[in-house]
Amino acid sequence: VTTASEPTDEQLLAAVGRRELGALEALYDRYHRLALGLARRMLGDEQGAEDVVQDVFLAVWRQAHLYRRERGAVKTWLLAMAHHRAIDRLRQRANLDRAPDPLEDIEDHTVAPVWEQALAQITVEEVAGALGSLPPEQRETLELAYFGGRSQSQIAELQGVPLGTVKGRTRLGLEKLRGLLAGVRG
Amino acid sequence: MSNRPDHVNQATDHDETFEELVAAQAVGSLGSDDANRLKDHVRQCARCRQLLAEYRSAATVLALGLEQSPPNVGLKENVLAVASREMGAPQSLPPAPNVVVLARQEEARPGFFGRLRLAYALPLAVLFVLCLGLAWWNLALQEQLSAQQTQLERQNRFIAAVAEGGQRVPLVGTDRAPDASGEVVQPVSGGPPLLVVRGLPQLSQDQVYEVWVIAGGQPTSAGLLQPSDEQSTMVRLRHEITGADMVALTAEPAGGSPGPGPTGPIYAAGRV
Repeated sequence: VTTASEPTDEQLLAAVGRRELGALEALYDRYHRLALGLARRMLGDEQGAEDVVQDVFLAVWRQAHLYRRERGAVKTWLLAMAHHRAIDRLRQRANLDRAPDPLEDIEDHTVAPVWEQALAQITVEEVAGALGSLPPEQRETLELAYFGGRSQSQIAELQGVPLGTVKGRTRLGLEKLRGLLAGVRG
Repeated sequence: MSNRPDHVNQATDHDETFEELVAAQAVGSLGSDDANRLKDHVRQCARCRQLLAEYRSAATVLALGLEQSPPNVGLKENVLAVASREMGAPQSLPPAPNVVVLARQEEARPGFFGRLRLAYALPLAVLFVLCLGLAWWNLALQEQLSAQQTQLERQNRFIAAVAEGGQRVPLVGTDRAPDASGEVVQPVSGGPPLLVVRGLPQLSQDQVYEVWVIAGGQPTSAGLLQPSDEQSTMVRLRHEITGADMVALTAEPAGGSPGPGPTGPIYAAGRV
């Protein structure tokens, strides 16, 4: 959470784009613990998690100009990079191909900035409440996919349910989390 | 996925099946085939583009529910060292758009008060630029102070580790760095080892030193190192040396070795 006197994430990222090392350090201080926690949860090893986080912040340093506000908050962008890199490592371990990003080279879509505000304002209690309110099977499906890097088919096999059920659970679970953010943005 | 409904192949027509693919993509569980198909569809479907961005934000909530890791200062030092190395010449101060706007406003207001304000515009602009310069100078001083505090903190940790009788590994420069020497100390009280090294030659812009801890013939990267202009450089390693056979420094591409082991020549090494 930022105060009025602190620069916003976007201001810091713009400063990183101007090669200001202090801004990179400030972004690191703000988000590396979150990114490290995510990578550690996904990979299960400290060295790999640290490598992912280092890759992410060096990518921020080198590619700050590639950030598009329309694609979501800086926090989402950073965590998405950490997530993608950890997924890549999980897939390398399993000898699976990397899936392409559908938004990789598309520039003309828009997301209202209120999503950024919602992600910035959401409290730990609200997150815990939202995750706790998910039906166990939906939460497990989301966690196997997001943290475990499992494909929908693998999850169907693990849970012993049809593929369509997994797809439905994924979508319903995300809809509920989206509803949480929509509620926060008011 | 082989058991995908046939109508998913129609990339342009929106239906709920695509929304399921969007959800799967947002959590990273879509296979390459479906992801390619979704990409074709998303190009033409504004609704799915919007939904994908929103689902990604929603998926971020899963990460926000995790316990945050404790701060990792050693990793930050590595990141900043590489970034600093890659940084080019210092950037000039950005233009001050407010000054330009102020001047334009005054030009649009003729008359006595307008001329009076115009007379003040130049000194105000100079004052503004001066303030901007002072703010920049203050920031630079703060960064310098912060860097010195970090270095002092590392030196104190190193001295404390030596004083408590931690395991010490002397490093000797190879033919490529005959003036290099250093030492690694593994604190008895636990935590990451500390490395101090001096006399390493400066590498090219696209290279960095990488520290390796070698055990049973298997090298493990323990961090990146960017020698400063000062006499010695001190970093915290990411891998303990307890049980290892050797510590070595090699020159690697910026960002570190592309493989699991070293790819460049050894500049300094020491037996544990």
